[in-house]
Amino acid sequence: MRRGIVILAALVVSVLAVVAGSGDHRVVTSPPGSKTGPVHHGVLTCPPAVWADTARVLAGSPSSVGRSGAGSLTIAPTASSGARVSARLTSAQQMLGYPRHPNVPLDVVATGDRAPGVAALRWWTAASKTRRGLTVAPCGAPGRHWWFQPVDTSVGTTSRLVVTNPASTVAVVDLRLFGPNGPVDAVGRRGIAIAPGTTRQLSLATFAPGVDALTVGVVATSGLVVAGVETSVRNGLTPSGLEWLAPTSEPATDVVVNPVVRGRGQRHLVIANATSESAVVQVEVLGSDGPFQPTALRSVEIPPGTTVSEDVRRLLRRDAAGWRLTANTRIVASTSSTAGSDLATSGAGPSLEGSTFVPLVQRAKLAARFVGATRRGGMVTVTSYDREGNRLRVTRLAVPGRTARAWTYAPPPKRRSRPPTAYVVINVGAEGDVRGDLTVRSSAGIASTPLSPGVFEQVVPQVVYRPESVLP
Amino acid sequence: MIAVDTGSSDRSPQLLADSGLVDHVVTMPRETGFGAAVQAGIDHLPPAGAAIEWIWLLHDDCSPAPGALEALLAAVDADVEIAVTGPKIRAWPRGQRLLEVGVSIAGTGRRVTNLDAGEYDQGQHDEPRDVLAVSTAGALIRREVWDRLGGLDRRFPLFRDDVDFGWRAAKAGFRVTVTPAAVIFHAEAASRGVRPIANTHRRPHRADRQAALTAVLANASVPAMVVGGVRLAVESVLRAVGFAVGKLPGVAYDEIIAVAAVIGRPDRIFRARRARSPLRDGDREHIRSLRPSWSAPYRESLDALLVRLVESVGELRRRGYGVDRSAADRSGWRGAVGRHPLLTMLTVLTVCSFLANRGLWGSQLLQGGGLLPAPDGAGRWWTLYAEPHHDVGAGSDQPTGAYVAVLAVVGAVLLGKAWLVMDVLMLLAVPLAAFGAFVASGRLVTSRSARTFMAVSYGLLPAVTGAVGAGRVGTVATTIGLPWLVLAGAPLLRATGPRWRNVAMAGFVLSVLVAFTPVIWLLAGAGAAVLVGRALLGRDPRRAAQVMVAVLVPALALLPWAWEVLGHPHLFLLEAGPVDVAHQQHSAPGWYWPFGRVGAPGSAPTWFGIGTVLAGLAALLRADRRNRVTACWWVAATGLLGSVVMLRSPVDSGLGPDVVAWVGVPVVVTAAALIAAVGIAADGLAGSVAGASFGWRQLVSPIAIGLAVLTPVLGLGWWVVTAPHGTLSRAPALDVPAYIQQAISDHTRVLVVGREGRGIGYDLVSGDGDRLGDDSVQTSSGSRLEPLVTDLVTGERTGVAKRLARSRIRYVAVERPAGPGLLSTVDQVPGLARTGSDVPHLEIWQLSVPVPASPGPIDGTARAHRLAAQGAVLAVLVVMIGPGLRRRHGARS
Repeated sequence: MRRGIVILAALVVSVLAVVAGSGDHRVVTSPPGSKTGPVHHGVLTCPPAVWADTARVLAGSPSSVGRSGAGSLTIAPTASSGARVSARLTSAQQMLGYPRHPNVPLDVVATGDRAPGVAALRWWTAASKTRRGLTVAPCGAPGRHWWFQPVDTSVGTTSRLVVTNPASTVAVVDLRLFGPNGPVDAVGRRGIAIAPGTTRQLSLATFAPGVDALTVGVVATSGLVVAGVETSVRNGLTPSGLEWLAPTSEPATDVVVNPVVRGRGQRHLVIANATSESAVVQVEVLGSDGPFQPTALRSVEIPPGTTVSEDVRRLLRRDAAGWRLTANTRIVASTSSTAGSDLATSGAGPSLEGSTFVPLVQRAKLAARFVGATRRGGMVTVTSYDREGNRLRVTRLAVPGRTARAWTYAPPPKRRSRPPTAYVVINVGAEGDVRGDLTVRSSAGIASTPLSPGVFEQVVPQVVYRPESVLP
Repeated sequence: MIAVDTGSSDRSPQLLADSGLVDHVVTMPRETGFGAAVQAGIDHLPPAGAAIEWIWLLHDDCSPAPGALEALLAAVDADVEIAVTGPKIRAWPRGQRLLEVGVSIAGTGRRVTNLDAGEYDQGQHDEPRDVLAVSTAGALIRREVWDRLGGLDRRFPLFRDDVDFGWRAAKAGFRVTVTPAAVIFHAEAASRGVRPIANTHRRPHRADRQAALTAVLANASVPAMVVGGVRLAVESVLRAVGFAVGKLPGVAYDEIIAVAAVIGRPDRIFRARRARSPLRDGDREHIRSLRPSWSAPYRESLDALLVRLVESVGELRRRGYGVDRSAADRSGWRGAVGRHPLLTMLTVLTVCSFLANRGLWGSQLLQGGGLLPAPDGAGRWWTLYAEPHHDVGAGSDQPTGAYVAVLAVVGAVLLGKAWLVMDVLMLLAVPLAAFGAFVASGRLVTSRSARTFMAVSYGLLPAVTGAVGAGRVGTVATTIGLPWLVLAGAPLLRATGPRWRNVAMAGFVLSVLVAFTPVIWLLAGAGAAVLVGRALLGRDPRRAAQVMVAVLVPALALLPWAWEVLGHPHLFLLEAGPVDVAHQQHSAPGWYWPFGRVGAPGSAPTWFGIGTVLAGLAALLRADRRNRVTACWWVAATGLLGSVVMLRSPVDSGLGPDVVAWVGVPVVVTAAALIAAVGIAADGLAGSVAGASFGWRQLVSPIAIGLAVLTPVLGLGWWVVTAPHGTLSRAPALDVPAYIQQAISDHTRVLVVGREGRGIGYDLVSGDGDRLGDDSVQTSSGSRLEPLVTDLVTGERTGVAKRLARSRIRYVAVERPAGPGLLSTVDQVPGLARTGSDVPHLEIWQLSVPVPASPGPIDGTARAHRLAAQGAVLAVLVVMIGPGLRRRHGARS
């Protein structure tokens, strides 16, 4: 009897153990994820100010307003291993201006609270016998794809592609050129190497000479670069314009071109078909009174790899209107205009949701042109600040859907105790898709550049130590 | 005839005097040496005349054969140049075993007889010949020579006086021969300890050794003396170690004291040499030819070792390991197979291993699953175990896993071939496990068939093939060693009580297994608790203490790693090799366990084990074996409970996510216990069933046996046909370009970054990559680089290069596919320059700032102390376990 109980107990224990172990006891371990957090580090590369008589980099970030100011904002020449800092923001300041080293690319490095939304631009003027005008070039993060339009290589115009490689490794870029007669397959447009920490300037006339409406695509096949096109125009022996072509958006089937500069000069809508099939583009004008389809330019057919330029001066008259282009294939579009003796271009820019830091260029008038890209408009709030970050004035501007609106900065009344305005912050709510261009006008000329909201958040991947001895 | 008595406590002198055979009886004090005693007797002789006189020396424990003296005299008559001759000496009282036919001395002081141990006299040494010396027992010495040499040297009170005398005679130009026609029988009473020796202070070995060293150093040439002095000192230390290991500490002590006494008093040696300086008439070449070569003592030692080995094997055979005498009457191959079941089984399983692992033989390193590649040599395991700081990952001061030391020892045996260790361990796991099971099964059953069944079933357990396929080196090693633990632990159950040697052996084997799989410590502890309880209930506290000591031995033998385990109990559930997160995907539910299945790629199908489980249940029906079968079931239940505990206790690996521990060992214990139950019940079943009246047992028994036999048969067939490799493969050790391997050989590192889910995983590679053993010292210290890696992959550009350099990272490697932007982001980091990579899935950047190569000074004192303590414990264990030399050791007089 006793022996039987012992045997039974052994069997029962065994069965119970088997039952207890039969469930799924696996520890489910989710792989490391990612999270969105404030940017704690931002690096922008400013292109060199070639042909400049006066140049300055203006940098700052809207996020530092009202914050502790922890972090740093520095400007230094781009170099492969971090050159000596040339300028550093003091704790009391919110914006940094840096006038030196005009001919070399500069890195704007923001950390801590100064990193979210950091923005910088480089402006310069030329007043020589051969070149004259005002240029504003945005400083940007290195990228792989850059598109420029309209590039003019005809007689009297000099266009240079300026490619900066801020990394410590060699970058290699290919050029894609689309002219009025189709793709341009020039010798040497592939495998262009840019040494670490250097800038290479390429005369685009050597690839596609005598083209007045050229579309240039820069594709970095190795590394990342910062690129821009500087165009200088002469009318006979008289210099008549200087412009830094900021990059326009990559080819897409739905493109919203920012409003063109208001004025009486020449105006052209330039569209490029960046694909190998014909494009049929539907054109819609986003004017100050609302959208309309121009009867003379309802639809444009563009052969593959071809850039077309349409004179739209009569169509727009003096209105600062934007464009909405929809096509069956991916296109690139922009407008160009002349104002006075200078050039100005407007391309397709990003949505302005969030805050955009805009420094004021010395002795220049600041203006902006907004367009509601969708049916739903948005409210634009422009707040001006002094150099220490003290708020000076708040201006609100309603931008209806599919409508263009112009805004000109009006400085607050001068008072002895009030410091001058150093920068403005443009805030756009999330309710609508508002885009815009910035125009800077001074005695030296006019320049425009697309507005780009600052980067406030970034995706930070979760980093985990996974030695080989922990086999995944 | 003169008799000399040195302190007899009986009436020996009187008896001699009364016998009328002896002319004089000389009585000397008890402390008188042999030479002095002989000289005292000779002093009673009349002065030497012109005629040639001969002195015949006899010991009190020797007996001349009839005609011995005549033969000796005939020899010296026949050759007038002979000055000393001696008889052939055989064992007392009338044995055929030869003791000496002339004697010489090696440079080590070893007495050389040129006879094999226990060699019988068959006339093979009956040719008279010149020798260096003869024993004083029966030596016939011309008196003129005796007087010229001054008799036996008083520096040799008892031992080696004969060798010294003969050597001196030869140096003086006299011939010393052996006359085998003369025979005496010698008891060697002094050297065999039959009687106490007064003038050696109860230290016969010390006296013998001291005399031997003195004889060599006093008589050798000057160069030979200088070289010999060094050689003797070194060899004496080695001999002392050997004696200590052979559990003769007293002899080891004597060895050291003897050499110290001789070398520490060079004046005595110089005096002895001065006394011998007039003896220059001998032919040096002739003397040299009479002495053995320098290697002779080593050859003799090797011979003795081989004889010992052969005797041990013979002993095993006599005990019945691997040989079945019941098959001796069969002829042909069936008879050969029947007579040698172990050899047959091993041959078959080894051949099957080669076939089943046909895709895993090659030149590259075995790895995959939980198995890291073996290091280039076993030396790295030694280094890893001894060094205080490990340059693994981000650096570690953690005690090295004890299994590394075991692998290092095995690697040393295999000539430093670490890869061979792992190949043998993993690819021959089945025959090795079956071999141990066959040997251990002899403790449980007697039937050849039952033992073969148990061995093959055990070797082919799904858990074994699964562990091999999953690269679980810990489970594999423990499976191979588990039968030996049973074998070593069985004496603890012996009714007469175990000896402490058994305790040490059980503790040692347990320590080896614990080094690989600490969970076996818990299971053994559970079993020990039962044994201790039984012993205490049976009022046997000694046995209880012995069992407890056996279980506690790993705590000391595996110092300091064992303390790390005791301090962090979750380590009990981990085993040798990396923490394998992936095995959870294959883990089998609990109802698989009794069938020996863990759930791993490469496991045998579950249904193979069904027969064993059913047969195990049927085994409970055999009444006369029910107690033992029930005990097996309780062991199986303990294993199952252990599996449940492990399964329900996710382990913090300390290096990442929690994991469910690998339950291989408790499952193996469970399956092994069921196999044992079946084997015990099947042992002698035929006779038991045949002797009983017909009933249902006659029907059940063959069915159960058939089911049980199906397990190994089907398992073997499945194993060979499917050749399951699981996750094992052969691959290069480190998958980074060769120039990087070269560049980081200076203790700098490669940071390997790769996408993992939506995040980033990283590793630090140093030297030639992570190798087996490194896993035991991996710590979470590498995780302190997470902020640095985060900055690297998010585009931080300031200070990253310097921080990488401070962590001694010379290269950054990003695994492809890296996802959008990662490669470009790293491209932007100042101080990192992309460099070439011939490994397709890696992009490499080199740091352009200087990287320090050395981790800096490290204090290894504490580590050295711990290792010394562990070494001392292991030395004691080895001495306790090792075979004793007591039976073999003895000095000759």
